Amino acid sequence: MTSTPASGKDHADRPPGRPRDPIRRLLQHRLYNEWFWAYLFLLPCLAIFVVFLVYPAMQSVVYSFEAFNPLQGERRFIGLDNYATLFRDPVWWTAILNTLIFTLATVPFSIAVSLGIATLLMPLHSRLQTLFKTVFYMPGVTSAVVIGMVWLWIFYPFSEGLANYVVESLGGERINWLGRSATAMPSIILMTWLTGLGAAIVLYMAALGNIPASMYEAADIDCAGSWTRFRKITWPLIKPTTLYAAIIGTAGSFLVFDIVYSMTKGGPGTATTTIVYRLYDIAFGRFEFGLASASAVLLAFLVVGFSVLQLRFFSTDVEY
Amino acid sequence: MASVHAEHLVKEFRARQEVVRALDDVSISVNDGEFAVFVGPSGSGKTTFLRCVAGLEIPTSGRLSIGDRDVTTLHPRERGIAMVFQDYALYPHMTVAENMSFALKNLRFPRAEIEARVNQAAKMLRIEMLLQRRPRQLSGGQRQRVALGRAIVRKPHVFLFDEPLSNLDAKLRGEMRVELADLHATLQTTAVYVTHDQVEALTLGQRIWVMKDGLVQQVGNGEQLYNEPRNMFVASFIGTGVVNMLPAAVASVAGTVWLSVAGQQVALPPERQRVATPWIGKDVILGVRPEHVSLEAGDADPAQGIVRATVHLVERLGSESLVHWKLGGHALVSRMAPDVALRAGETCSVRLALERSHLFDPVTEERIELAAAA
Amino acid sequence: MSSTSLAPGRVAGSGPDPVGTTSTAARVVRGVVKVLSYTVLVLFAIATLIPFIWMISTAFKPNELSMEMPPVFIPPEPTLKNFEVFFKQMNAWRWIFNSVVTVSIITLGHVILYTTAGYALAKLSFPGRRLVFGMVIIALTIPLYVIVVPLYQMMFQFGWMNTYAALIIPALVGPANLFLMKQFMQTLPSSLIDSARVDACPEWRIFLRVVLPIAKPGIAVLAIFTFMGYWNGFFWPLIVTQTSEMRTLTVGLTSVRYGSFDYGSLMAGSLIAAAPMFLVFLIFQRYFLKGLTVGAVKG
Repeated sequence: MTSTPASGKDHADRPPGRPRDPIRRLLQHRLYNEWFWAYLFLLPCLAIFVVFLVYPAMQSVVYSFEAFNPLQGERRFIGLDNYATLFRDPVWWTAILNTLIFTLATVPFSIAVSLGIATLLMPLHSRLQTLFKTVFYMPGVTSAVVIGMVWLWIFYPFSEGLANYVVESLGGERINWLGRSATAMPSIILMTWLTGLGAAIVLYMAALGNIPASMYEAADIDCAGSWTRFRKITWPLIKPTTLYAAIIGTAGSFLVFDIVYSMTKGGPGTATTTIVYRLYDIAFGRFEFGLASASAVLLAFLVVGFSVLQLRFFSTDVEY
Repeated sequence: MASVHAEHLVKEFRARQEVVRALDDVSISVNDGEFAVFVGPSGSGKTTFLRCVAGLEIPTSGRLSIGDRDVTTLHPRERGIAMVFQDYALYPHMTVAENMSFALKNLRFPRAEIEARVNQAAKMLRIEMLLQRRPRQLSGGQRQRVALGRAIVRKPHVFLFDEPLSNLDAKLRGEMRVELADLHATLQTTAVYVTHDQVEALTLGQRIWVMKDGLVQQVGNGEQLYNEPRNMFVASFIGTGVVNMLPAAVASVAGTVWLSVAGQQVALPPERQRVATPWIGKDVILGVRPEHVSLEAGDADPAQGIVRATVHLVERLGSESLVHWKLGGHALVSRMAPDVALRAGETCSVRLALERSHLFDPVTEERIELAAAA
Repeated sequence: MSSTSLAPGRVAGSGPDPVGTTSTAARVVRGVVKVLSYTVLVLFAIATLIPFIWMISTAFKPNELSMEMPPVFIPPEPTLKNFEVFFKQMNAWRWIFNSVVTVSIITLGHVILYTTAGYALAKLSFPGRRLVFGMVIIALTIPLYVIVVPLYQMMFQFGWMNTYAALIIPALVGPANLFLMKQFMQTLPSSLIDSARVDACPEWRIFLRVVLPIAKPGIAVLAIFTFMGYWNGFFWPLIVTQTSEMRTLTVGLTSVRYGSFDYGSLMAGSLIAAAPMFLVFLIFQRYFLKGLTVGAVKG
């Protein structure tokens, strides 16, 4: 099994008679070859990002400094006037308030209850676990619009709505859930409580499953009570998941729109107007693109600001 | 078949803000047909060197050639090499036969030739019946053979091995070592073999490079490395068991050079006298292998290198005993007969075979013979 | 809620610690709490299910019965009339067609774009790699609503308003998917790619013949989540479609004007919108429940 020494370009395993050309010479270079394909693979999606994401983002900022109404053909630079208008707009502040209320009412609840449910599900047989996981995640695969439609029935203002049926059976009076400002937002919050749990439950179950049993066994030997177990072992070890759920959940809550549109259209009055719904209204109701862009920029700041805050607050000792 | 030459090879990696020098200006020459083993702890640069030879990494500076050909920046497929990976890297969705013929198909070999080579390699490795199976249906040892087969089929100039036996259990490892040695005897192809296991190095390597921190510490065959280690690292790394490193002071008594170890005196053998002379009045490190410490009856005899030590612990391993001693304030380990009659607390006489031991400079950690030559 | 009680006066170093005992009262309390919590769990599950059960049953009930209280969940005479009404009234078939076509193309686009890009980012080294990754992270923080106005304007400028182009092309933006695929590709063994390079395989062929076959689980997750996300998507199709023919199913549903009791056909339409996702979810459950955890939980 002897072979000729490698002088020039002959290898023992190369069939004879293959030509060499200059392009091949370049492609022979180990690194240039890899770089070429890397750029080729990345180019299409980066191009799409630039055209349909980065550039519009920059344009948003530009618009926010303009009075821009395409219907009236108006477009001129007005500096910070849009922001001033927003600051003086009571509906804008109502929107921010509504959104904050919504976020504060839904995110901590979701996280806590999901964690609780996940903890309850862990000791169950895996078939049961899958069953519950499936049930709780169902709303997650359904369009918010569809969920909204169904819950319109539940919140039907007269006796034929499920909620009123329950209330009246318990001896109370029927309530105009979505029609009265006092109950509109709470109704939406209640609905979110019952439909927004699935994802966090699945996440927490995975995180809980990753905690080595030996930790709990050591705790038992050290005579730790259940609350201590949770506080000192479980909670710290699932902090990354909690952080993730909190950030994603908060961002999602800040951007709530679909259910508001399909159920209340921001009403009654402005009781359920959220930031994004206000943006929609300004942009596609009144076609004030400049003002809408200003609100979009502010929205972006809010979302990023909250995420950063949460990162700071939570991740002091989180390993990633 | 070809030689491998590396001249002043440097490889730097950037990690966050730091620059790590995985290869710190190494120059290596592997001869045509040689089985070259590169051994060292993790981070020593041996794998980086292998990957540079393979073309999976490009050196930061320096020159690499296979045969007469400068391959420094060439793509792996232009180098005439074949490689066996630590995790075998078998394509999981292809059959064994497809795995083995993958490279040849890429190189546009005629189908008949491919089949012939695959069958030939399969026969050599006794895996003919596995040709239609998929990797997940194979055992660790079988996968290893397939990885070998895939390399053999290429008829490369150089074989590259990246710790191929690390994932096998001890028994299989022993068997595969023998097979690899046989394979090399049959094929006679140049091989560059990387491992962290010094046993593999000593048994397989015609020449062994010991590496640490991106530098070659020493090159030689097994005997040279064992009997003439250049520094403390090589001495400790090569050979089973922990080498006893005892601080000692060099003194001159009546014209001959003596060592003072843990308060006891031992005479240096005549062949060591000259080398140790420049070190009179200084401290050195005495390196004694556990197998060179023996039990003696009677009292201490400085002229023979016999000292008194107290038994600390006896570990009986069935085939031998490891006896841990206390020599003054220092620990000493010796390998003795499995049924040696010793108990903890006993004080006995042990002989340190100074004619087979080494003296090291405590600062540079090199053997003092070499420090003297410098 | 400690389950052990240690004897008082325990001093360190005075021999083995005394063993605690569980009092009967504590055990009873624990049992009651357990029963209560699991009852709450089941109640929550039922509360989550009820709306869906009602939706399905109402879709098959004649309209007059839809608002009956207490709710009748199994219709005595199931009927398909609601579906008839739904399909006759509007461009329902067209809506379904639009959804199917646009979402399928978008999903295919995402798979192609982000599998390749994710591979490049995860496994290939090239100058500017960290820069690109940084850009992706930044892109991740930009929600749709922030760019919706300029994008809308862009649709006018390109003449794409109310066309399939507007529904599909801007929807190909997916930094989250790029991130997901990058994370996933990183878990694939690099030694396979190295081995293929040594085996004289060209880079593009390595991607097709070595990487893709073992990336199937990740691609499946990507495809399923992307399809679901865009099938249920609402905001963008809402503003970019102006005529009924171009609407997608979700948008079309909200555009229908029904009388206050016409829940039957509304639920029929909703069921059609939701059913495909239910089916996909039930069949590919494994992938859903697994896919959620990539990126959020290690291991």
